[in-house]
Amino acid sequence: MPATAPALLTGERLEAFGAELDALREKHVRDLGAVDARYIRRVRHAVRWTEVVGRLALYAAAPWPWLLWPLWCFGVLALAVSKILDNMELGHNVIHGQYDWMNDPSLQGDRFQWDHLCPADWWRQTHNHSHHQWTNVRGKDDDIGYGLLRIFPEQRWTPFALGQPLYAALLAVFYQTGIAVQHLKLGKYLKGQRPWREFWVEARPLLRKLPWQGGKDYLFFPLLAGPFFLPVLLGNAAANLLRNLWTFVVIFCGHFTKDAITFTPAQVKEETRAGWYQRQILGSSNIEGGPLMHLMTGNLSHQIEHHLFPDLPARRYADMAVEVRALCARYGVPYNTGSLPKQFGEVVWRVLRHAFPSRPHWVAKTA
Amino acid sequence: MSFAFALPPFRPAWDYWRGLLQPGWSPYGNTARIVRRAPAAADSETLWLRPFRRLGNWQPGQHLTVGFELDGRRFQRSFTLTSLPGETELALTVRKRAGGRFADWLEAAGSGARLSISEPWGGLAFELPEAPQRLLLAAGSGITAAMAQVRAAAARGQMAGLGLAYWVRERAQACFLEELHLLQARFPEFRFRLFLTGDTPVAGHEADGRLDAGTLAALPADPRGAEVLACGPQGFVARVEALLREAAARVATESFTPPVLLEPVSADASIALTLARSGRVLSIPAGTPLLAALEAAGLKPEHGCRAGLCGRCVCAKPEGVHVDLRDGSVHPEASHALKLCVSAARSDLRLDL
Repeated sequence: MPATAPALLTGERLEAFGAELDALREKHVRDLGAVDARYIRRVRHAVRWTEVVGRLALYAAAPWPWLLWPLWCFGVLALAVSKILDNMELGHNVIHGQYDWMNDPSLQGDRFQWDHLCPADWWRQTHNHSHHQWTNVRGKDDDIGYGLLRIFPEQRWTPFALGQPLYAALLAVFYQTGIAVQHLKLGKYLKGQRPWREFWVEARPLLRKLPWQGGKDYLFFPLLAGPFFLPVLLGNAAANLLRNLWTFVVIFCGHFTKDAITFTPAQVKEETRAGWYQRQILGSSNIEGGPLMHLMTGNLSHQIEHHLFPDLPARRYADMAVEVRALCARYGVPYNTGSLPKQFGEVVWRVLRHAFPSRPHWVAKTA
Repeated sequence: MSFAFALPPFRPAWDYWRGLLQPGWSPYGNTARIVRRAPAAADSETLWLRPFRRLGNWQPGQHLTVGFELDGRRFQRSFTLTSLPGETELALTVRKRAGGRFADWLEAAGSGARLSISEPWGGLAFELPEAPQRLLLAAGSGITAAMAQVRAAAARGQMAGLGLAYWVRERAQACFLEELHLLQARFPEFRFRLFLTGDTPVAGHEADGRLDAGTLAALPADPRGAEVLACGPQGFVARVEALLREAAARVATESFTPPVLLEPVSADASIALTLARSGRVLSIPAGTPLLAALEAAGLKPEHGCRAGLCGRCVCAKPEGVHVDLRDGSVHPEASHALKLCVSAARSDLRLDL
């Protein structure tokens, strides 16, 4: 952990930094076109075809699972790939409105629905608004530990935190559910700050989606296999599990690495657009890798660029990263990137370390 | 077959596979295939479309909005249907403006290409289709609206008392000439005159000059007491109104200026904002973000971050010009996804609110 806080840009220098990022955004907005449209449609083709291939492989393997288990595994993998692509490169990015400029109603952020338990409307609230506007602002961005984990020393320690390696593991396994209920802020009900009868009203959109979403993988598709119900059900569960674990890893690497910084609401009160840009960079971290890594993370491997330009097509982040990184070097703004094992190792360390009482070594200060 | 067959979680996959197996099917409205194309004049072309689903009931002279994709973006353009409701194919005659988006798309599309289409809407029509004095005035591409009425009248055999005056710059730009001559031969009581503003009249049915008090006498039918339908550019339509409102029994006009040619207003002017769902019309300053302006008018549109990030205030803009305040880019096209919080009006707007 660095001994001192990184020196934050202020005043004119900060505004100049922001202006350069605005210019970068404009350059890419002007360049949007057929290439981006073709790309996102290809991603959608990939989501649909891998789903069919995966489900067919599971059906083919289901009557003889002890013999055809490699085929079963292939089916699970294909289905998991479909779900990961659907949730990340397709769903997450489309719901951000990255392809709204196409004017194609099937790829429009405000009406897109994804293969995920979380109703897309809630996601626009918790993720697009709370998390993206208030990134790493304590008390505003609920993604900091999801109200469950103590990730930063600035969060208050209670004995409850001692169990967090276990909670984190459970959260990873049930990550889809975790994200879906995040909107409800369960803690408030558990602590008795809100009456439970309000919960049932608030939870209605989720309760409406739950039977369909669960019924699809755990009833409808297994039933199609007739007597071979169980191998198909297990295959679907395994695919969902793989998707949960992978998205957990990617998303936790995005904001909870060693050098990620959190802010207090007071620090961001007078924040300009340039200040917002700077906060996004300091609060996010990238994962290094090749094109496949970027595709499978929905380009959240470029978490920094995603947080700077959440409404631009994610396929552009790789190109933008070169410029953003050079810009950060020029202005002396830390740019946090590393391999997946390194970044995830830092996340695991944080979860373990801050299970115990800890104090911040430094607090990021503006001015 | 537009019923919602698929249950919610199966919906995206269902839409995808059905769209793939049944080209032309779309959960977002009707589509049509271009089955034939033919040049209509020097710079115009007629397209015949076969719709995927039958259109509902419509009247001759109504418009069709078509959607097409160019460079990854969907655009919409509206044209007057020149075919009659009973026919299986829809006919549109389009003026190909150099550098126009639809012209560019047509250039690349060829035959067999698909367009999304709306239901027919709006349009001009005679109140009394059998009235003894009916006068059609058309300028430029306004001829399509007039032609729809001529064809409808011919189909019903009600050509007596119908006159058509058609203004073009040069003879080569005039559409439907051959058909109009044939109709004249079939129905001697149908009167037609072609006005040329940039060519010398040669034939008997030709005259010259723009529409003004001097050319009134040259109209193919007496406008006094007649029902007059006029369609053309804004200036033309305004002249028709000024010249004939007193004399004619009724004047109905229609003018269409492509949104890309609308003159954006300055930021401090005030514009009329129409809320399509409630039918309310608000007068708001053009410079303020729409969300703030709506709130100042006492409305509470759904919104989130107020910074163009979260997309919760997104709504559709069927008509008007808006500017994205983040980068100053001007958007004259219809849009499904206008962000209220970072957009301001640059013309009268219509929002799906």
